[in-house]
Amino acid sequence: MGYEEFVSFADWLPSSLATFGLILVSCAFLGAILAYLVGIVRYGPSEAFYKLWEGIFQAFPDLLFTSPRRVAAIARLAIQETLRRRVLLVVFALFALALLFGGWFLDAGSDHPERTYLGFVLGGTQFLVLFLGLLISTASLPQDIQNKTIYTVVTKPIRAGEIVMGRVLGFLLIGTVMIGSMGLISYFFVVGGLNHRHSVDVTEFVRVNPDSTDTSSGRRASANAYYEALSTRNARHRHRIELVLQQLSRGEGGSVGSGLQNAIFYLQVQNESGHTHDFRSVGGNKELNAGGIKYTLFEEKIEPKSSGLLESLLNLFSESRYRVGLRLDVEEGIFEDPEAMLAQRPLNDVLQEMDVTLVTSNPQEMLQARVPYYARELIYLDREGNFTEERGMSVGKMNEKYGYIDGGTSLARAIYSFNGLRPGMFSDDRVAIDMNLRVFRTLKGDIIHRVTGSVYFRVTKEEDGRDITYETEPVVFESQEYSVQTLELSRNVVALWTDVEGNPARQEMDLLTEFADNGKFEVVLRCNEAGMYFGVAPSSVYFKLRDGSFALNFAKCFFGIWLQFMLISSLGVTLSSFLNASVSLLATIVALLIGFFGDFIRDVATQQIEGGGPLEATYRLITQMNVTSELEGTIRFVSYIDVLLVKLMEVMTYIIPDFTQMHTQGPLADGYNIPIGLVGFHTMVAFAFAIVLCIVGYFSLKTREIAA
Amino acid sequence: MTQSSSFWRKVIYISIIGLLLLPLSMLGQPSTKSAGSDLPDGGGVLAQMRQEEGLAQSSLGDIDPASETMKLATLGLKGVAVTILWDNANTYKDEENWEAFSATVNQIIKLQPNFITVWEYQAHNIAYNVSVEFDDYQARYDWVKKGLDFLIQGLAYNRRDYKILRNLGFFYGSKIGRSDERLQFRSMFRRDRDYHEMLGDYIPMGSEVSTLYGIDNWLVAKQWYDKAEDKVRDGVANLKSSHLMFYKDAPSQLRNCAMDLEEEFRPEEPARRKWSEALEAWNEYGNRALLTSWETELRLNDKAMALEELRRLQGVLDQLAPGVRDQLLQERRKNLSPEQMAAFDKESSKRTLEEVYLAMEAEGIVRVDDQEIAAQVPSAQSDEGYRALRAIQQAAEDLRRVENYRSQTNYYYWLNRCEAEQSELNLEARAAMYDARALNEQTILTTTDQVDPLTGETTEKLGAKEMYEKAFDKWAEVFEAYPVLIDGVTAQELEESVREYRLVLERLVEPFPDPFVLDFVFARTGTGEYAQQLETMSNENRPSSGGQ
Repeated sequence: MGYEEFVSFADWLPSSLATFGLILVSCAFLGAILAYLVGIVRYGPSEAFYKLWEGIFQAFPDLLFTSPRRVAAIARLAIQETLRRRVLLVVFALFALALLFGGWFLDAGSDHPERTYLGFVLGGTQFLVLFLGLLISTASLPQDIQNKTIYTVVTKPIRAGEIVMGRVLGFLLIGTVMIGSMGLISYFFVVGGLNHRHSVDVTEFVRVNPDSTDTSSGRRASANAYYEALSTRNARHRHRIELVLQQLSRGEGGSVGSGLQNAIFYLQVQNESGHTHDFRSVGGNKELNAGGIKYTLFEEKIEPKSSGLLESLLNLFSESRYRVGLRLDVEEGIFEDPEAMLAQRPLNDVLQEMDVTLVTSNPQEMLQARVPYYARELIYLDREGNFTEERGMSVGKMNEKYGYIDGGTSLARAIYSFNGLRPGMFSDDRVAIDMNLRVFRTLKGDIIHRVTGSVYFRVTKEEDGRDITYETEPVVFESQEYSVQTLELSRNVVALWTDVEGNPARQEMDLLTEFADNGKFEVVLRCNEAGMYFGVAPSSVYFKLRDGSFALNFAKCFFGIWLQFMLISSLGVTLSSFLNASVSLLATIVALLIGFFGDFIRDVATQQIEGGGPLEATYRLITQMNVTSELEGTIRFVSYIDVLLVKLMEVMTYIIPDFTQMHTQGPLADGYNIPIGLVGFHTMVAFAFAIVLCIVGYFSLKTREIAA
Repeated sequence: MTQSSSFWRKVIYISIIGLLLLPLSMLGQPSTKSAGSDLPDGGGVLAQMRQEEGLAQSSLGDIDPASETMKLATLGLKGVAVTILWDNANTYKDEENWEAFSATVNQIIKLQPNFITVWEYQAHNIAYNVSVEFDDYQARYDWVKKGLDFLIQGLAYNRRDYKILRNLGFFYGSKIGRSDERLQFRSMFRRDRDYHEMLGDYIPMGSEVSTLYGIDNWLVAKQWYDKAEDKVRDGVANLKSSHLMFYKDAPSQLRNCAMDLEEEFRPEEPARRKWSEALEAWNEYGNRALLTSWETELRLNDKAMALEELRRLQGVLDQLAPGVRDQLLQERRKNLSPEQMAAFDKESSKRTLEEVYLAMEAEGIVRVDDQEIAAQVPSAQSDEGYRALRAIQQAAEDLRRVENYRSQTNYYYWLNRCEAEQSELNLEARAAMYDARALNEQTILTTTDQVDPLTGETTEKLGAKEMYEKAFDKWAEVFEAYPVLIDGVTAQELEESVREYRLVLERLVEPFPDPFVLDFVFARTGTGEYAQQLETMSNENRPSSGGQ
């Protein structure tokens, strides 16, 4: 799923800056006290006081007059050092090997192969890059100090801060090149690995009845499907192909009895393994006249949607979308229904006589970046139609994210309040609502059909001092559990209301400019069937805005890895400014672990996870003791030590940034756009942390230099 | 001096390392595979011990590089990693994150590939628990298949195990063929040609699994059970469960297939053929020597022989005390009430439910114990009498064991059912019932006259009501011919049809017929053990054995 409760960057920044400033001042104050205490041990109280103030006063000019030229020179030195150590070559070779052979083991036939592929490249890149950051950042300074080569630098007119910043910058440049190239290769690996096409043998089309289960696979045909076939098996799956009715035109006056004028059908590829395909007809449009009907097979290009210059540019790299349709124009005779038209000549014969070859495009709706527009608020109405504080009903599931509303004659509803939707957010005169619902049945009911529900819009306006509620006609849908289903709705809605005189009124309106003229309205969801329930959460229903670019989304995800690399590099350099190589490596690994498992540590600290802290857990592991059994005897003392250890670890989790937040693989793989504001938020956090680390590194190196 | 001591220290260290390598090599040397042999041999002490205990990875099944790499990567903390993964899997299940759950289960199994229970548990979890979380039957079917595929993966790692094969048989049979969505599942399974192709890598997928309507899940299940039997027969796996239950599975699938074909299609030749195959397989099962929990062998079809032997031995005892049995029997008959007497004397198949109970009571009252007869043997022949009694007791025990085993599998009922279902009468009854249901669904409730538009000829077309009545008449004849079916699934199925018939009558505003042609059937159902009683009572004049 996408990010549901993300505070916008503009809202977050001012309050966070104030907090950050406060923390920074507090840390500086505590740091000064700590430095003074250390100084007392080393030099005595008065000398320490003098040195502390000297250090602080020197720090301002040192930091203010940092020379970019000298920083660049140190950065160049760091790059040269790293290149000499050939660690880059090793990391890159490992990455290349993983991509070369890893593809063999990736399951292209899983339900969502894109998740497997993305998980593989992102996980692999993250691991290798962080490993690289650890190695190069923690070993560099200590080695220089140990080999005394640092003196060739410090004897020059160069500031300690410049050494730290230069090294961090150098490593960052290396990381940027590595991550950039890895990202580019990964992108083509993912896209190339997932690309596949299917073809259809036109002789395989068989007649099906709409909504019937008597199909070649036993799966239910769509409500308006008249023919079906199975595609060729590629990438370990096949797709059901359906000929679905899109449009019917009647003759004079459109009345039944005057006969059909034409019917337009489209070939649709049914979703399989989490994706679908567009159809392509090799050889262009074809025509055939037979049995009083003119058959025209045509191919239409669907214009790519774009929402900005960058995305338009990125869309140039993506495949255009097409669809293939069959138009039947009546030339002789009277046909009352599409069945009668199709009965004139079997589809197989028509396509064969036209000499049609049908192939699909590469997968669609697999690598995408849905842009959701979430509701401001979700409220539930109980079965009497009253507002309820509770989050829907519980059907006894462990997952409490979803509240349930019951169907049938119940007045239970889920009401989503939206604010700020504008016509410009959608590409044409339609709006799309995405739904991700849960379904709970209290009786078996109709097994073949999924539970139906309906959705309608509602708005309350004040007229002549009275509140008038406008509602649109409900749109009925069949639920699709555990997947995102999209309802494409026309913006032209029929509004129903009771006017101030109490008369029922009805009028066609534009949803966004007339019905909800101030951008505020509600989406009301109900379950239609008695004994059945819909489970809904705040993020279950949202408006789907124009899709973003997957390539850009992919780049944002790699940028997250780059931020993590920056944090590791600056942490490694800072720690190595006062620790030796192996200790700083160990300390950085610990910081990394805390950064990745902060939630877990906090859960251990708050005893939400049973089994105790590190010592108690080790004891239990060795003795194979159940986590729920009480420790008995003298061994209980380990739990008292654990209290201190866990508290210390908990404090560390608040100091070290949460690395997992910067890893945005989840929404990328689920097909959701990573909000640019979120990227900004991560960037701010990472840079703030890196800058503070550089300052700490400056002071520690300065102290060390004085000592040396 | 310092340099010299350092040198010698290094020499000593290297020597100790060298010396330690020797026992390490003796212990840890891996086994080697000789040409032409599937199993490795030789190697160090540990390798040999693994081989002897059948614990060597190569003797358990295939070695998966990914699995071995994962195990190595845990650096000896496999247990910890597995615990974390199990915890994660449970969390994902609670969160209804099925994709992540499935992926985690696949990771667990890489770390525990030879732990059969894990395969069984998680396959069941996916096929039974996860699948039903989905509202759409098509998604449910996909998840059932995932569970089955998961279990199939386990075969390669556990070549010496038969339990996975049995589970596969059970899953393919009961999950696809006995779920609420069985009609849809079976229909999709029949048409799932890519899946059939995949299954072809493991089991024969030719005529063995096909009917006229396509590949049948029950027949696929039978193939898995057959494979499990092959493993045991070839000595690859040791059978550690009840032989009675183990060998029952494969033949049972044929009758399950026949039953479902009769439900889904108009009962005709394909179903009859399957019943015929089911009878043959059930008879084979009855003729198989089964190891019992008393560590002796018995055959279910040996009952007649055991009964004959018992009667022969009782005859020997009767010769030693002539007329005693009849005398005791006549004396005890006097203790019966007139109702008990009437029920006891009535032909067993004609008894009503109440009479069945009365006859059971009567039998308890008139029972003559062989011990009582032995006590009346003249003292000059008491040794012979005692020996005869001992032999009778042994024969009675043998018979009891066979009967006990037969009742556990409902052997007698299914034997008769398989035979009855093949009869023309039964097929006609079922076909009429199938037609009645179809007419009911089309709401053609009663007979109508239909005029041919071309010839103008009027023909009478039966409606649901008349077709149900025709079917019930046929069923009455079936139950007359095969009374054992009364207490089985057959009568229960009829109850549902009678309910449908009642509804048809209600819609036609007609009363339910009194008396009803199947009254005698419903008068007898409900004992729960009627078939067994019928079996017991069919052994007319069987004297009770004593001293049990």
